[in-house]
Amino acid sequence: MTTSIRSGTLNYFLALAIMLIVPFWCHAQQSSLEKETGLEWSQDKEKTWIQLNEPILEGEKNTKWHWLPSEKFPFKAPYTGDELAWFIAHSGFVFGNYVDLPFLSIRINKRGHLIQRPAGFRIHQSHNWQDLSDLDKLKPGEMFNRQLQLYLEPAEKRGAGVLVMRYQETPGFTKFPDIWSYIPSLRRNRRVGITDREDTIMGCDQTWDDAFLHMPWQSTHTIIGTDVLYEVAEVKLAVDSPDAYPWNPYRSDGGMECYVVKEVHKDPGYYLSQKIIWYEKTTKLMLRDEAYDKKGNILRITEITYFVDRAGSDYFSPEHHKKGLLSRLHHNAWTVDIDHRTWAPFRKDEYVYGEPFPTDIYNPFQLLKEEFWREETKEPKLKGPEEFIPRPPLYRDKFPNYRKIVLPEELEKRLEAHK
Amino acid sequence: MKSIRCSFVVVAVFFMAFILTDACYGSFLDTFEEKISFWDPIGHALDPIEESVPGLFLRGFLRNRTYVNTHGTTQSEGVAGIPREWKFANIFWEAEVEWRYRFGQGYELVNILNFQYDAVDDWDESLPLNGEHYAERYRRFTDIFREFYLSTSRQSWYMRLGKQQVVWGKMEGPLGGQWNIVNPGDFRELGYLHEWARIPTWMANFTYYWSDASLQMLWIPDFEEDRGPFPGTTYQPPTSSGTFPPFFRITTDRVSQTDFGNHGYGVRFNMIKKGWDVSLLYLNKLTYKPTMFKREVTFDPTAPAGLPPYIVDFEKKFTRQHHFGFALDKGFWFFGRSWVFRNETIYTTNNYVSDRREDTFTPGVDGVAKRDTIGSAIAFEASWLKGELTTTIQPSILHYLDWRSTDGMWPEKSLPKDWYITVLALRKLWYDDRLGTFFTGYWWHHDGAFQCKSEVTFEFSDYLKLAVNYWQRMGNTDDIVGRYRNWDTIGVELSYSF
Repeated sequence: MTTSIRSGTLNYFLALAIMLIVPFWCHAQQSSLEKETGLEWSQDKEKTWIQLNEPILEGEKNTKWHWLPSEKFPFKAPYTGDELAWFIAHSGFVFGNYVDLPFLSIRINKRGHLIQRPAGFRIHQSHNWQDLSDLDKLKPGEMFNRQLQLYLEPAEKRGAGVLVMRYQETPGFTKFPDIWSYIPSLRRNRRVGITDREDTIMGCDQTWDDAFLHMPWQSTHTIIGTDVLYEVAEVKLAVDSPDAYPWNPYRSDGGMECYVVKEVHKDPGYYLSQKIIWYEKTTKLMLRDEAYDKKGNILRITEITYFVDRAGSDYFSPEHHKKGLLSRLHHNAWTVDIDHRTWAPFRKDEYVYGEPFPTDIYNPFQLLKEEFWREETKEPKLKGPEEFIPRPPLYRDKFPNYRKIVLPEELEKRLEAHK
Repeated sequence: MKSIRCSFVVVAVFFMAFILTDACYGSFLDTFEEKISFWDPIGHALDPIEESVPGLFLRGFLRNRTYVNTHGTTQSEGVAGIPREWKFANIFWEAEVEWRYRFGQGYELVNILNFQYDAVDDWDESLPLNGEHYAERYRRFTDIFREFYLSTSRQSWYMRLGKQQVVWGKMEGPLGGQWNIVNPGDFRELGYLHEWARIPTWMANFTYYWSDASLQMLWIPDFEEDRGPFPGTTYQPPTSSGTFPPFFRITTDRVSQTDFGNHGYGVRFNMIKKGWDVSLLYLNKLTYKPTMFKREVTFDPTAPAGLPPYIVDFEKKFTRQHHFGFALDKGFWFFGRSWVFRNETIYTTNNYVSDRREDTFTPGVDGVAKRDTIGSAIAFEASWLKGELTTTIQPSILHYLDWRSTDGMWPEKSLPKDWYITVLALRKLWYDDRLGTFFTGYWWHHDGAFQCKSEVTFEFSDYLKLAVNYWQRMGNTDDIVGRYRNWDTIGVELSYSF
């Protein structure tokens, strides 16, 4: 009896000690990470951004692969802008070799016209080169990613399928993805081309470049400052990972500290003048992306939230990437000039990843089956435009030297009315 | 009549102009657009049924396609030479109901029911057809019971048993469809791409998949012949009356479906390596278009005055054909943009053509000659103007091997040795990709003829769509296309899918 009391007391104090020490140790770890960056983040909730007097330019390049940073992956702080861009390059929607998810894509125009398209996605990434050392295994032109998409609604398009195969591209070697599309009414499956980098995909607020084509080496990246975001896509827990120690992105006031990077395409004829991108400091996830037109005015804003699984994992471990580590939860994009928006809410409880599925599904002839591979659940759809996620905030005051936000008068009135 | 047609056109044009203008500047659509995007009454009514029967999926559509001839009020060269008052070319009312029942992962039963009616006979007294007889065409069970199949799917194979359609071709236009040879065709209209342009038949369709290849095998015990325009309807060739001379005696070869010798067999192998998509096919089947073999010429002294004193016996027969095909497609980067290249080539044996050396009244000859053909089409597809404009250019050829200048029915015009047709397709989408403008032109180089379809479509929602199109044809009276040069139509198509 006495022994068990002693033992119980010991356990109690041991647990108490762990509970006290671990957060302290975590905080110390976080603090040391912050110190390594060489940058500081605002503690002022009113003015969350700090603009660097001297922006951080890109650093040395790799001697073997001259389009990559010189430092071995995963890079260590302090970072350059291109290192931040490479952290999540090629992740596409998700990380992981095998990912299977249903999703709903919703579009709304300025008049409240809604288009809701539930679909299923199956992604196979043969090369997980979030670890850039994979590059020596992947030759230019070699396939590294295959995606199969099947539409469940509207009725007319049920069974419509899209198959995408993506290939490794390097400077001087262009190989666009191969895409096949199946139209059920015609029973016809055929190859389709990519229309243009800047063309939106199926009327969504996402261009071909956003989704598939842009690679970090095509642009220059400059860190222009730091910022703290308190919500992304209306979600306070933008990186949904309550136990993702030691990669908890939240500081005590709920803010997420971000690097703010200016991305400029090297092609002077590119359709954008620049992008301003917010990379979360700990996970390096891209939380917010602003595209500016050739005149420098705001064109499109995209905010993305994530779900991080496998708490305690090493975020940058290739092994965990193979199994699947994080996925998007909300994709909220707004094309400002026409006030058109796309929202893709994902349901994390329906993600299946890390479970290999047969790769012979990536055969254009498989599209003819019109078969959804998993148990179909009726997606809860919106009943009206008022249920659509609000527009991403404009943050008009932030980084005025870099961001020009001029909206059409009609849109300003509409935003005012919505307030 | 003219005023009705004009008002129809004016209303359609006004409506589209209103949509376009209001889409840019208006405010009326503010509430209309919001409400219309949820307008799906039948779909909502079907939801409880789907919810109460797990695995059941229902869908369908209702559609009206109305076409008005844009040439004059009466034509001296109306259908089959009969003068006709052109009120409408066609007024198609169409409906489709499809149910799918999934009774386990990989097992599905599908049935598609099709209902059509051409109301042109109700509106146009001058139409020289037996309306009731024409309407019966749309009441046939085989037409209504359009598709019915059981599909079974496993990891590496897929089987579909039942009445179905199999589409092999990916090209556009009359010669582009040469790979689409598995199902017979329904050519009641002159359009080349319509989901009802194929007649589904009963067959077994089995496919085995590897990671980058597939092998498809078909067994087609069912037989249906190609269908042309119903005699007396709009697109019956104006140079033919649809009837034979009285001294022709024709027997038709009935194709017994219990005879394995009449069945069709096909195989298609497809492989994708490094983005190259290559297919090979072989299909062995009866031709879907019969050949008139002259069998006997008998002297007939009782023939009425003015007619030849003979009875000529013909046998209408479906003969066996072999098709060997090759297809290739590839995406590539050229001239600063992404291109898609496609090719389909097919070699067909045993095509029968009329042989004018063998006169109708000469005994001992069958009046036809056997020719093999090789047909090929290549297409290049790219986008321009920042991806807003998509173009497809597709030259195609059909070549008759061992061709003779005496091939063909009419002395004044031989069957062309080579057919050259180029298709140019343009597509531009606007207004969140809901407003579409399309142009497809077909140049019949060997005939000097041209036809094109210009179309504007607008998607009110995922359920409701409107299209206004204009078909135009030019050429000589003895061309396949040119003879329809006064058959230009403006059409309005409204469809609701649920």
